[in-house]
Amino acid sequence: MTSRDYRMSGALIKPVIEARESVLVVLPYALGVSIALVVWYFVSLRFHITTFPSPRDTFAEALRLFGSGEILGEAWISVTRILVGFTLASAIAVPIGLAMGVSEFVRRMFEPITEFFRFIPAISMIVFALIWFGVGEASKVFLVVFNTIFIVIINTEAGASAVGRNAVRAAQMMGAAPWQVFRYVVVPSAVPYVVTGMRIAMGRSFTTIVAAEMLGASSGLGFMIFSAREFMRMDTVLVGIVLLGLLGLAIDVAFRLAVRHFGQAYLGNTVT
Amino acid sequence: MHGNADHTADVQQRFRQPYSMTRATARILLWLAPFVCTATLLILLWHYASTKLNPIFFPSPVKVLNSAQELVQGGVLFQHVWVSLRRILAGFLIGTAIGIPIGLLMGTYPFARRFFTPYVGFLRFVPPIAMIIYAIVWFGSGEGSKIFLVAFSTVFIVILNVEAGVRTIAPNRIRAALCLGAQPVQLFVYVLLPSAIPFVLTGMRIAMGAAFAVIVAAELLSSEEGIGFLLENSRLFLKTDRIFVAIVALGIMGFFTDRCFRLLIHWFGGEYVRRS
Amino acid sequence: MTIAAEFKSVTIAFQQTRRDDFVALENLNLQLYDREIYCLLGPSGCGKSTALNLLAGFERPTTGNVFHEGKVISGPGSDRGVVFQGDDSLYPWLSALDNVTFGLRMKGVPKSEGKNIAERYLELVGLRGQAHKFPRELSGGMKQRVQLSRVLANQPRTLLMDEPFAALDAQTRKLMQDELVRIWEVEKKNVLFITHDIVEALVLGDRVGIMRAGPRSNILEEIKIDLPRPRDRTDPRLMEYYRHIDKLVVQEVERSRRI
Repeated sequence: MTSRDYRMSGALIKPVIEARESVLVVLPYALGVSIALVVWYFVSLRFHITTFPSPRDTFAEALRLFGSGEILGEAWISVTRILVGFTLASAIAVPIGLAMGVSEFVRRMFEPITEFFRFIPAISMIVFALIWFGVGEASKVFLVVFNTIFIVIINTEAGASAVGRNAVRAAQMMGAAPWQVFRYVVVPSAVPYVVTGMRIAMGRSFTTIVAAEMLGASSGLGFMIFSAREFMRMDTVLVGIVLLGLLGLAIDVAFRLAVRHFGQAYLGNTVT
Repeated sequence: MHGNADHTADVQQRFRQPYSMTRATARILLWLAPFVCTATLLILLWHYASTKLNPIFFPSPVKVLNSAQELVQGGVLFQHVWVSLRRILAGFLIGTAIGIPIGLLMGTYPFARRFFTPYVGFLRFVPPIAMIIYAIVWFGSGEGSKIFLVAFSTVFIVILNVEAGVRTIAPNRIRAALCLGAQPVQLFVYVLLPSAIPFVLTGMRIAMGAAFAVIVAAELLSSEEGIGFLLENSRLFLKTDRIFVAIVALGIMGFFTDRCFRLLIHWFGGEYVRRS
Repeated sequence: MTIAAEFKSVTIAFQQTRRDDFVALENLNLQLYDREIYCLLGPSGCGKSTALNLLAGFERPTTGNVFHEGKVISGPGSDRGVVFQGDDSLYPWLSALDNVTFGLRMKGVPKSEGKNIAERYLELVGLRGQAHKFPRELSGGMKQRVQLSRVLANQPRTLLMDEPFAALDAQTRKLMQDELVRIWEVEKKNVLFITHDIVEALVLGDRVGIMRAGPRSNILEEIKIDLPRPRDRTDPRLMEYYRHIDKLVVQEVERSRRI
């Protein structure tokens, strides 16, 4: 074979190999999904639409719900509740957590409280929330606040107390006053921990809100899904669940990106 | 230079004080002080709030203690606690029994990972409680649906943690085993599994917290017994003092299970992973 | 020769739970002269870093006093700059330039002036054009240079360096030693340099203080290095000093093992 022949056959083989490799990569995903769809279809044949809708029916229902904007409206209500509660809780939790991380006195003051309340599942507080605040927005927001505040405090405190000793000493030997050390060294170091805590809290708040809406609400995605069962609209239920999954996924991805961004900048992974 | 020994004695004299009972007690009290401060403040606040507000809304500490006594002595509390715990345990075991193998597979074989990812990567974000409708339709409104929900919420957490554990094994451990002549099965049993243990335990610890949340939610929605039922029932009769007791009981349960797992992680995890 | 810093009968002990206190240094007497490089040399665990921490103001002596410019030291300050061993004291969220201007910003120096000063010192340490880079984009040697320039930008009287080149590979270490000598010729500070590498001590130091093995250690012997700079690592006169010091160190390690 001349060198030209060799190069040419190489040019032919390469795309073939690449095509085969990419098929190998995609195949398992496709396999998994298609098996699920096929099984779903066959199982649904055996049941009535009210107990087990077929893929086609579900898809039709999805189009209807999204088209009418109904489902997105409910979703938005749920999301707003989470955001409001989340912001409120973080505004309180972050300063407390920072103070706890820095001051032993403050830590011992608050630690019994956080260690006690963090093990109470937020959803169990709905009972109190309904009694105190009724069925309105306040009870839902309260739940999100309750859920978020302790997780964020704990993570913030971990971040504030994990500041490297040399980082603090460096600031001191450069002439920084204690408050400057706090503001310019402790706080930036704690950021990745704070964001991680927020990510966890956000995920849990999502779950809590859905449960809360099922138990005592007249709007929101959880409410929509739960009330659908009264009319045995399992297809609506399925669409609602799928949307929940997608929302949760979107929230998590957003936070992971945030963590990576802040983590890179603030934790500094070295290149060498 | 004068004798080091004399200097040492002198130095020791300066900063070692004789042990004194009063000094030790003072130090312990000082250490406890902040906690005692907050606790007393909170209890006082609580009492004040309960007198000012409608007693239905806000039970006084005394009332709560009374109903706690009542519930405990009557055995009612423990009965409900036990029901919930039973369900959690069953669902938890099922969830981990399914989750660990899948997680191991996903961590070891790229094919398995890609196969399962559409399911795991999506379903894990579905709040388990949303599945309650299916749970009831498929398993009835009794034990089955609750156990299913706990299993559902446990499975994905365990899978994720186990998969992460397998994937972060230091490659040098595997290489070392290979050049010491380990066969694939031996590699799996003697290197992969031990290295994955702390991750399995951590996953289980996190899943436990989620399991509690799911059980409470499920029992609030539809149940005749269990802690969630106790909560809802007390709410319907506006017995806020009992609600309080139930919630504290939940907190204690969560605390203990968490500590148990931490201990397990400390014992078993520490040996297999000497990590900073 | 004016004395820049002094340890007078310094003893420091650390409290340990359920054990006798750990006496790191005992009756340490050391004088650091103006504008000299004093290398503190010793085996691991001999307390040389503790001595530096005392002078930096991170620790307080249990008995005795540490003086800087005639005054007793009460805490860290920008008159004594510290270069740390690893890279965990650089701030990863700040660029090299911002790291260097950190001390200046703390003191309220206006931004533009600070920037000029920082750029000047970055150039001095050989990092011209790297000002915008973040620590994660810099090599080990470059990070130590950033530490050096941020400390110099504060115009300290004394420079305290805690085994700053220990974490670098051998080639970079040699380079940085030569760089340090070059920079020191320009900015004649008083330098206390901690190391466990005898050759490093000989290349850099005007005087070398050999410490006893810990605990309860102090200075075993002080040796004046009478060689012009820059020093040749293969110079036979340097080798003479090396043999002498090496023998002392080995003896000291043996002695401590027998105890």
